Amino acid sequence: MSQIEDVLRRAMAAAAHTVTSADIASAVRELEEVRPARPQRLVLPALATVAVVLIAIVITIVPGLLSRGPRPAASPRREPLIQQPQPGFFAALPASGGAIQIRSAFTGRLIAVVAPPAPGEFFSGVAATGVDSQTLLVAVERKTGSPCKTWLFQLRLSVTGQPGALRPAEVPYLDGILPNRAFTATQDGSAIAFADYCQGSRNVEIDRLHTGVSINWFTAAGDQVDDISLSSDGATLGLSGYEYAGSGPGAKPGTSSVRLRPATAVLHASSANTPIDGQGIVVGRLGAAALSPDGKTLYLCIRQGRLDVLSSYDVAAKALRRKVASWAAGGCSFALDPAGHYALVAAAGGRLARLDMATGTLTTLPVSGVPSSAVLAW
Amino acid sequence: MTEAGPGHHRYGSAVEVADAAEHSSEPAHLPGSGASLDRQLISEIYREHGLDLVRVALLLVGDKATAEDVVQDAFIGLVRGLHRLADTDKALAYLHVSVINGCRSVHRTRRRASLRRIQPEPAVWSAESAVMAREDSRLALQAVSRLPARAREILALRYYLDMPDQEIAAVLKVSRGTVSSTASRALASLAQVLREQL
Repeated sequence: MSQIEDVLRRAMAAAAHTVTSADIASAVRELEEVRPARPQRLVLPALATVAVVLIAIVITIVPGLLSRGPRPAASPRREPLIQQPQPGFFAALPASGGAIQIRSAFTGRLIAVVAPPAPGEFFSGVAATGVDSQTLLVAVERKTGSPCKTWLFQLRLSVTGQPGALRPAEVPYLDGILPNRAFTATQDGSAIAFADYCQGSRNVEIDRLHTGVSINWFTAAGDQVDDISLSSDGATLGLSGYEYAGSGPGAKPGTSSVRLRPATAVLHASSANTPIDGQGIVVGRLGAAALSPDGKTLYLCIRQGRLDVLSSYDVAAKALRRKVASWAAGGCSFALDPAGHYALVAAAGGRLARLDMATGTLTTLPVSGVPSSAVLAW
Repeated sequence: MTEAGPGHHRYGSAVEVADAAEHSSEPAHLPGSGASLDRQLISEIYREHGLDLVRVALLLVGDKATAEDVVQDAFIGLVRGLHRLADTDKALAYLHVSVINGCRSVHRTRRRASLRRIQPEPAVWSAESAVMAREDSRLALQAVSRLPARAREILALRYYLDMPDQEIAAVLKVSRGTVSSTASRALASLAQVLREQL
């Protein structure tokens, strides 16, 4: 891209972002503000149709509008008619790592499929940063030849969700691989966290990209960290996975098996350079875990029979706070938006749903093709 | 990288709808008849694309309030034409065409208003507005605002919405070659202006 094109893109983005979601909340105005159509024979039926449709739109978009009761007469600002979960796009990384899907967070629509930078490479992690100017951080590994190296790339999404080229990230590589795709970043992109492995050494780490400071915890041989999340300030890390619980006789005579128990932990930067001690908030078959932006709540998905159940836990009290929602068992995979208001859920059968974290309402999006085991980054 | 191209867009490509939209001051005329557009789909389109449409309108008309009006008119046009929209896949393409037409209408109205010495809101790239922090960005958009209308539209669709040239051609109802050559001339002109200013 030429320099002038670069200047132009930057300038247009700067001007465009002077308009925000809040500015257009009242763009679909109340019925009385709609200008009548030009006089024509069917003007009254047409206006009636417009009225019905606009009222239906308002009721559909804001289900709680009518139940809130009358608005104060002297309200200085109109109620927003349309809520926009942000950011507008998310990434889904299937277990194969062969491609990353970019999808609309509103409809689930597939916007683009991003392939690894070169043949013989696969994606081993994806994390989302930014809200208005979304950028993904993606981790890439080689199938052969580099047992202790993971390359990091930035993938900028346009305002329509179209991905640009993969560009080397600020930290271009990690000295280890991400065996369980446990990789995340803060919304402002200032810190990343991951669980990596290299030659028998297992490690959970937060890297502050602008200062170069790293914070490490050690995991014991046999431990498996499946999912990792950060608070918005990058100071608290939540993880879920399985702890090594010794070996024992296997199902077949003469064999032995590794015993694991589900484990979760919330780690603060002050406890760095210590072994991770699973705090055992829950037992059961664990799926994804995500910290709230303030780091005070840990959301955990647990398989319970034929359901995936998402519950919230008080980090300080290490106690169940409430069950948020449940759905037909899939991969127990979900992703929180940066504000922690909504979650996207990869449900069974490749279906996708949006979950309102406050009300527990699940809205199924009209798409399929999102593997329930996919890692989601929003 | 494999991308789901514009032709695969759920709400459709402008290629399919451009013929329905004459370059008039009215929202684009909706083609077809028969099946009606799902109301839910309109709110979905608004949630997903409303902000982008206002932003691209802002780049063409300069101020936020007018941009919001243009996009609102486009959506009202869509609502009014529900019963005539045969193919819901064409909704977004219709809106793109309608917003461009609306912005052209704004400029025509402003030319008439300027004869009567009525001034619109200052553009976001003007010094009076002072909402853009970077001087080079402000100067770049000032230079863009002095380009011919078609060049401005092509640059906004190409460099803000990342729309492929073929789709731009359909929205603006010109050939793909015209899009390409107009963009090249505009970039050359901008480069020269900015070299002198920066």
